[in-house]
Amino acid sequence: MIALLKHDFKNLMKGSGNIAVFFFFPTLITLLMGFLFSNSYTSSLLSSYDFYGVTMIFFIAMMGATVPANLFLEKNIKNANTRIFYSPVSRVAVYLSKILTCFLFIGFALTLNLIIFHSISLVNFGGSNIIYVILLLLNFVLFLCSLSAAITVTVKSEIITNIIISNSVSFLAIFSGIFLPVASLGAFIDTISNVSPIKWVMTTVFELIYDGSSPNYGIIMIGLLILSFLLLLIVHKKYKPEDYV
Amino acid sequence: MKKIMEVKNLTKKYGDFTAVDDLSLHLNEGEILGLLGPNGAGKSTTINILSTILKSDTGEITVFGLPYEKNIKVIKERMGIVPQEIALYEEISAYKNVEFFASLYNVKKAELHEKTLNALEFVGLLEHKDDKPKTFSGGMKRRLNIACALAHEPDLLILDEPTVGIDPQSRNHILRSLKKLQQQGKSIIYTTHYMEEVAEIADRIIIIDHGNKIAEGTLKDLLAEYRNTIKYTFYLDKINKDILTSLENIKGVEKLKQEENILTITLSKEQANLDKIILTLVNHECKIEKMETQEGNLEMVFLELTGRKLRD
Repeated sequence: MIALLKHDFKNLMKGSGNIAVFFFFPTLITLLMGFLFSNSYTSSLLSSYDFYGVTMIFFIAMMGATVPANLFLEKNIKNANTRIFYSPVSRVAVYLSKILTCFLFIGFALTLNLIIFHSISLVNFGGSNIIYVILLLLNFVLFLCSLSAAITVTVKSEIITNIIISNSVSFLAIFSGIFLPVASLGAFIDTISNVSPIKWVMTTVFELIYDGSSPNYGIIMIGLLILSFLLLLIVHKKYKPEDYV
Repeated sequence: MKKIMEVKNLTKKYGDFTAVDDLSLHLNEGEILGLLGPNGAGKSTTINILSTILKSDTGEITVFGLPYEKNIKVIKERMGIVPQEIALYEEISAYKNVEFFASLYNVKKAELHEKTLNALEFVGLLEHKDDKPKTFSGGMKRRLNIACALAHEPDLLILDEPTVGIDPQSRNHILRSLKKLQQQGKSIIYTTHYMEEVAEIADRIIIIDHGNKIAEGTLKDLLAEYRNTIKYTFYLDKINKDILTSLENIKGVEKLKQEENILTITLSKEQANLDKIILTLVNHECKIEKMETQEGNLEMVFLELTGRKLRD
């Protein structure tokens, strides 16, 4: 398992742009969006950097849902990955290693960004509540990695998985108010946005930061864990070596 | 002779299509068994089942004397599989590729380096150990593909068409290497649709078509029936019943086969009456546009058994 983890980690690091996207892109996009929309956030309580610092971290986390698909089925490594099935390594270790690698890599990169933002006071993460924000972020990343893996092993195509995930992420991001407040788009859109799980997560994060606590924190945390577990069950059921030969 | 692998009544279906049909075979210790068949004959499906990656619908497999289903992990540890596809990580060095795959077979850390180097040396890639496969030629990739299956020193090696699309030098290197492995006591199953390869290295040959075993034996056994015959194929401008009757009466003609204006005549070597055949055709005012000769070989055996060529 350790050999597999190390190997998947190396493959992920070699993936085009993964380091840039998860380590540097959050800072870049927060600074850019914060600067562009600074005039729209005049309140002393919430600056544009506070808003986009939080939303962009979660948005990049959502973008990370394409990474497990690549680690499972990317053209350059797909055949070599299949070869692992010939070895005495268990099927469970193969898929767990990939999901765990993605979770650790994305989780670490985004947490690092979050801590740096907090340390230099660029973004408000709720003072001591930052630990709860980090735990929620990590739980969210685990859910996304499991979701991506479940879709990948079900449709068995990296391209289709990436199309499904990219489009879903873009749709959910827009209608969850990650880029712009959806209330400005009318009551109907605002109502639709309430259905999005991303909106629930973002609302919980902002409640943690600005209200000091969130009544839904526990439910969201447990809900994400249960969903991750169910998605892992799908992966376990659907990930069969014979589908890849 | 001790049997390393025994397969009984193996069947694998995909919907209505039967890829492997009641196939039985065995592999003796230290033997090279050639599985010969055209594309789509069921060789790869058989290999995927034998290499534990695919489940059969029915059948019984014993490897190293152990029932296959209950001992998959132990069996896998002693097997090396060379898949038909080149299964390498293009972005890491040849050394890292071999080392990684060997590490999955519980090779002790202290031995990993040495075994990795041995495998690379064995396939003639030691001086390229730090190069990435993406810079390799097709032949070098094929050899590295084999090295990745060798480093953990398996007792049983299964190779699925390991020489597809490579240059003659690399092919010869691979075939020589397999003979060397056999001398070291390894048992090998080698699938191919190149008859000259099995003729060169296999101790025993199984011919497969449509998932069935249609012939089995040593090269000598398989050729025995056809050794004394020679086959002529004539491309004519016309063929009629009179011509066929006249040809049938020539001494030594064992078989006539007509496909439009192509006439195939199987003739006994002892009665080499080619001159009489040509004379008969000329007397019937047939124009011979082309003529091909084929002496008893594995290709001929296969053609006789299946009615199609190996590369069909």
